[in-house]
Amino acid sequence: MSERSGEAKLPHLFRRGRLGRYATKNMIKYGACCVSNYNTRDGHITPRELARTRVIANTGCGIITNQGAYPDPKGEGKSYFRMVALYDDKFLPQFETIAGYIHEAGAVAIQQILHAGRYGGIDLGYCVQPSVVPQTLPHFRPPREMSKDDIRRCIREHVDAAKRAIRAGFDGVEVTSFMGYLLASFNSRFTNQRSDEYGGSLENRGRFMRELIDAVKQALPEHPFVIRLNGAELMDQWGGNNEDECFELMKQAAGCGVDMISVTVGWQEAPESSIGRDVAPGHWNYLAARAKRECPDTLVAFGNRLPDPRMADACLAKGEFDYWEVCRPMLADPDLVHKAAEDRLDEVRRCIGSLNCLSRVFRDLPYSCTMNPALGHEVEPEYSVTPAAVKKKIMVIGAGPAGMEFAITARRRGHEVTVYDRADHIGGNLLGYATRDLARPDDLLSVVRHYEVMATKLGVELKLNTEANAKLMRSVLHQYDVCVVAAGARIDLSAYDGVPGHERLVDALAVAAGRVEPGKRVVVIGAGKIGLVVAEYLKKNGTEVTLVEAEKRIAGDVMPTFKWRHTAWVEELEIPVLTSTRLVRVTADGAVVVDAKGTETTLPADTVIAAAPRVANQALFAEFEWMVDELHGCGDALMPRGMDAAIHEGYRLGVRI
Amino acid sequence: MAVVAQPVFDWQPVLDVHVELFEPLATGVSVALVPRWREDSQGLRRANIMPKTEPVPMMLWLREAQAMRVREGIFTGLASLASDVLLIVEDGALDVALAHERPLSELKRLLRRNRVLFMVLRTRDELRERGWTEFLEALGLPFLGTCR
Ligand SMILES: Cc1cc2nc3c(=O)[nH]c(=O)nc-3n(C[C@H](O)[C@H](O)[C@H](O)COP(=O)(O)OP(=O)(O)OC[C@H]3O[C@@H](n4cnc5c(N)ncnc54)[C@H](O)[C@@H]3O)c2cc1C
Ligand SMILES: Cc1cc2nc3c(=O)[nH]c(=O)nc-3n(C[C@H](O)[C@H](O)[C@H](O)COP(=O)(O)O)c2cc1C
Ligand code: SF4
Repeated sequence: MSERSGEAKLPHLFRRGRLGRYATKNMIKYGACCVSNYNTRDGHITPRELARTRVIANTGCGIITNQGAYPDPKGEGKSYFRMVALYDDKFLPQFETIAGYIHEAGAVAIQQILHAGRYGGIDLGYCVQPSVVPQTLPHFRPPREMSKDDIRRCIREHVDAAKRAIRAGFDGVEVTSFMGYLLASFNSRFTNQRSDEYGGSLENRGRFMRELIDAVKQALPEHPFVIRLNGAELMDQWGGNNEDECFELMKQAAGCGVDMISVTVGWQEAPESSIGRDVAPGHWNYLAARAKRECPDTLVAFGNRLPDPRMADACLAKGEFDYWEVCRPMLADPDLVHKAAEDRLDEVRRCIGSLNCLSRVFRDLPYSCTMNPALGHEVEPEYSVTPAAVKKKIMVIGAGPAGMEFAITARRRGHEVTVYDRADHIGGNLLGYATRDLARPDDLLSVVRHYEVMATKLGVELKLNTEANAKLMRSVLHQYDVCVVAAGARIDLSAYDGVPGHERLVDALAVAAGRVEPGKRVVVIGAGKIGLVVAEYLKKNGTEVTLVEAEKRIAGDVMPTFKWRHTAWVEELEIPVLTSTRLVRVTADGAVVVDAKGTETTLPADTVIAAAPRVANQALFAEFEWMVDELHGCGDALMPRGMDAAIHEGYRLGVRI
Repeated sequence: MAVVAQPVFDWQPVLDVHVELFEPLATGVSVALVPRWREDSQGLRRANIMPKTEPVPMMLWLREAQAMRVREGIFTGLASLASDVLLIVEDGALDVALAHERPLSELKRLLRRNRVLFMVLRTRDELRERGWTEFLEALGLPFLGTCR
């Protein structure tokens, strides 16, 4: 298909636009989505970041926003462990390189200045705030009140950082007045309790933001100025701004002559989801539409949890906003825009809203992406897909995410790949997980669909309904150069051998896969990710469920940013949870369990499901050792973990085999 | 004047049941439980959680040498609050929790439903050093990270 066929299908996204005096080649903005923790502790950009930024520059967006840099030498604005800085000329060379990459790719280059305020001062032990309103999350530092001198200095530092960005070659700047960052905390009724001209009325609370916009615009009148503002803070219950107030603040910014408003959702400490998988794509579009109505003469950019270019194109057609601002979808697939332009949307690796990326950032680790194992490793040739020096015949055992990721990667390098699975479908345990997921099955199912599409397009051979064992191996002896065992993990039912009545136990994976239909009253043993997903799904669908967990807390193996989600679901669904409790007996009437104090309880149940512990399916390693030249493994077959490890390991093995 | 819960000493048995959560705490640290709202002299509803406020009765859970004890205190604003952890309580919320079979579990639920709000007055490291990890985790409050 020619490039134009895709563009013609998304005519609003691919039309030309204009930001200030700069023409844009399309209506897509790469949202600052790159606080990466790849840099040095003192704010210098590293070769790793530069390589990553080059990929960002080449995403095909009309506008590229470079990651937020803090503007002050003290680091009060610094919110992430290895955040980049822009308070001194010594940082200029790498910013020049980045601006160069963006221009080479034909995009407009915007540098974001991010003073994190309430979430800043990472190395200082305090943060700066309009008023001393304590943190609601222990992750952040206790606040100190800013004086008027501090405010004036902060404005000067923003102006200096903005001028520096322009000197580095950027076309414009973006300032962060959202998410609870510094300006947002002045805007907020919750965090701003000042009694001077910077506090009180909405007019006063917005004063710092307006003064800052004016100062930067006066210093750089020729250059576009973008501001990120919340359409909804989701902080109402804390006494924060409601949506009406958010839009009044937007009008204040528009009144100051900003060139573009980027509309976002939520504060970091907001108690509800804003961009997780449990939020439906398009859910927040109404905020962008309202921004456009309230500020008709200012460009509006939007994209929070709007991952699909077709949906974005429809929004542009309706005039709901002007630029589609994309972040995580391009972490997951940096070729998203190119694939859209070339009418290859079926090949896109969707962002599944797993929030692995942010989980890592908040653990002070370099960010990574569940769906894009190469992300952050662009500087390492070992992570790229290159033609294999020796083309091999490879058999893969297991069509779960590890096996399929390996298969398509190895195939892209020119190897001949055949995947065997005893099931009649691909996807492995991910399929059971996806169909039972309360958050958004479609996101997880998209991973399986992606493998289906790519296996067909690339010519990976699939042999389903085929059990791999010594007999099969003998029948194909010397036909393959390589065997990759990606056979996943199973629930270790033998762990219950000493439990009277253990033969009545039902395997959670069989329930998830739909092979076993449990009764009306169920006890699930193990409240890790598998037990939780199964229990929540069953309860949601009318089964009476009790969860039993040997540890003190549930969700021990769940990604940090999703733990709270399970806790909330368990609570909303009113699933009783017995922690520090073990199974001692299974009877026809149910499960007998014992707690840490030794008290036994009988939990009436028709079905007792074992969802833990798990054990890797490793028997084939021993069986095949003398039957094939190269024998490798990946995913849960090495050690039971999760989808992320499976995808990443499949890829890493695929690029080097 | 709004009171956070009445009578506050009914909470002592709850603290005694959860002795393992409070054992790691350093002597002298406390949780302050403060009503979210009060009525001013003109009968208007005012937020208590301000740097400075009119005196408001509060409940303290104070780690004394032997155990966590319920004490009464007076809240005069955030600026002068010596506690490490602050629970801001909507009218009647603590009574709802206390009426529950497992009051701390109910408190956790109320936190999630924003009937009780949570604030910290120390850094993460200070909280860890003073032994708060168990208690905060039991209430489902994440020590690290945000972004939902
Ligand atoms: C209910 C549920 C909830 C989950 N929740 C989460 C979660 O929240 N987060 C997370 O990260 N992960 C979760 N998981 C786990 C996740 O799905 C797995 O970690 C992931 O699928 C592992 O991928 P894999 O490719 O290594 O193995 P699998 O997906 O297990 O695939 C292995 C494949 O090998 C095949 N196979 C095995 N032996 C043979 C053989 N001898 N011959 C032929 N074929 C064989 C199997 O049929 C299977 O298709 C959950 C899983 C379930 C079931
Ligand atoms: C890893 C990561 C880093 C981010 N860094 C920034 C940043 O530097 N500045 C910023 O304004 N927003 C940042 N964001 C927020 C995104 O720009 C965006 O608003 C958010 O991810 C929601 O949009 P999406 O659904 O398209 O991802 C970041 C998001 C992620 C996931
Ligand atoms: S880690 Fe998850 S949420 Fe983040 S970009 Fe990748 S798929 Fe999306």
